[in-house]
Amino acid sequence: MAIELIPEIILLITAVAALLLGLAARDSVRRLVQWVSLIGLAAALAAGLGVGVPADAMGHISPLAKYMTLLTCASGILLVLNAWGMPFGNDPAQCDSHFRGETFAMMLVSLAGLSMMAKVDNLIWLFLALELVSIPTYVLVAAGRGQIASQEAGVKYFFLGALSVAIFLFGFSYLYGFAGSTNFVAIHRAFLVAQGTSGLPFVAVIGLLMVILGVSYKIAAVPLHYYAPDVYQGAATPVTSFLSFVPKAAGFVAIIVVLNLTGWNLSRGAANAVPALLAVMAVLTMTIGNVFALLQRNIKRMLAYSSVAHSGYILAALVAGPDLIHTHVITGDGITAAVFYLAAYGIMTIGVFAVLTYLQGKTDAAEDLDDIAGIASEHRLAAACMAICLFSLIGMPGTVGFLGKLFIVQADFVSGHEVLAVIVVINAAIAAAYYLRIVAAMYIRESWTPFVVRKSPALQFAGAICAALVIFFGIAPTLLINRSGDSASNILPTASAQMPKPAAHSAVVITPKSAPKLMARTRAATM
Amino acid sequence: MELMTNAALYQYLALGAVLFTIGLVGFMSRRNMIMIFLSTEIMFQGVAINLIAFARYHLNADGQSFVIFLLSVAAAEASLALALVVLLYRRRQTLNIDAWSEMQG
Repeated sequence: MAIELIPEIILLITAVAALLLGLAARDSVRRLVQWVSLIGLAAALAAGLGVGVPADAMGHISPLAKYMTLLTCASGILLVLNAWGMPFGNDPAQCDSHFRGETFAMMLVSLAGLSMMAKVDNLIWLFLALELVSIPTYVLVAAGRGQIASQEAGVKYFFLGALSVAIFLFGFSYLYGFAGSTNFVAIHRAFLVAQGTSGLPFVAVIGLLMVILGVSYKIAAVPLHYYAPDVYQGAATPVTSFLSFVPKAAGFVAIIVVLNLTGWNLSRGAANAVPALLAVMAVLTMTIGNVFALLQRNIKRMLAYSSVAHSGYILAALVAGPDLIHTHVITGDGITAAVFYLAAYGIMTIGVFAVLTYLQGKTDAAEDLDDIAGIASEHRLAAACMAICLFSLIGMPGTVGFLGKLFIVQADFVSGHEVLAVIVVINAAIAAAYYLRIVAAMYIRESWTPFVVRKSPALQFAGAICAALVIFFGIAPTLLINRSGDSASNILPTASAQMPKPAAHSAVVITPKSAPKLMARTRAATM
Repeated sequence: MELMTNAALYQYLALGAVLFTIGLVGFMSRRNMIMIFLSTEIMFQGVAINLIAFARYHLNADGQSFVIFLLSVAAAEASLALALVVLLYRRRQTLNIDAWSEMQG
């Protein structure tokens, strides 16, 4: 049995249990779904911790896969706490306030897909894992709230999602055509052969570019980012916090996994187009995200553009690429910086959304700047948690967001992308303006209306945990640095662990007559 | 089994690319939700033709198995699309995508 898939198996079984339990006639029974989800996530987290990184060639779980499993389960617990009690009975946009179990089942399925992302060793698996992450999120957006805005968000999210799937599948088909196999080891070998001889053929470069463009939808990066504000605003707020982390993490892991196949050796000939595209996307994504965020008054839209901008920062880390010799943040490794920032971004953005949901506002969360004006005088702790997470999003020293940005800038400098590093720093300064507007609204402005807060221990707990983690990892980041440093080491698909059996691919259709000709043909060179 | 020549492969790839482009143009220009969804299905079929042509060219079954998975995922997406279309039609009695653009900014 595939021991490395135990966390995903636990998550999927829990999802099925949640789906069945959610059909119960009594509301009190249906509410058990939340506890079942929490227990399932905790069990998957324990299993993920238990599944070691085996040194032998039998089980081939990579350190990145282990990191992503732990990150998935930990963030999943926070996201379930964020969605506790959803749909909220006091949401006027809600046509019925009956508790729905399927919300949690969909979240669990999507999390199982995210956890699977880095464990795949085949293009088909990568496609299935990406779809496992996205399809439940379409349901979550469209059905999370009985409001017209939510269905508008659902339809936009779904149709653009289908488009992006088609685009990256087109890239996958060319990568398969280039290598003659969907197995990662075989593709990696084909890339090595091509790089050793004539440089990458166009079919491989086009494949890589299409994959990156298609995945840019999942990470809300520039060519396909414009759905983000509408979808983030229209979706129920716990779902928005889910969207801001889970599909984004899946998209970045997909980009890392696909570029690992090339061995990150992309400086020659036509392959140059790949880092060039990443760099252009990084600059446009963070600049457009930050500039448009400045113009927003709705906090959820502002955070949507902020999420776009943060994707730009992580792309800037990917442009730097791995430092294949040292592989540690201290030496400026781009992959380490990217996965470190992913975890940091997850913590701080989930924290902000937890506080927004706690404050309730007019609908299901505080959406407008007026909704949170002067909140600090009455709800000190909530305002403090929010301010800590926002300071981390800005990148203030002492928070985890500062370290994340520091590592990205360092990786860009070490790899010789000084201009990109400077653009990241300028963007961080622009971003401070709109985050500080939220902080100023909470602490300086007078309150308009009497505040209503959601008396939900789960939300209070989630917000407090996120703020505590932001500070903790900001002061003592060793654990996170080591984990992310490990996950960036040993990233290339190694032949020892997953060697396909000889001729396994061609055995099915080859007849004796064609075999000699096939041997004569080198897979990549004829393209 | 005869090997496929490069010229034959390029014809199939051209067909795949043309189908993909037709789908993309349809996605951009159509306003009816069902037609938009059909456009994405046409793009999927372009990808499927690519995969099958490459599978025949390399004489292995990876591409064909990829197509089977692709079709099942496309079916899952189609069921979701139809559910969404029914939900939206009940709300507004129209399938025009422009009727669903309240959020701006």
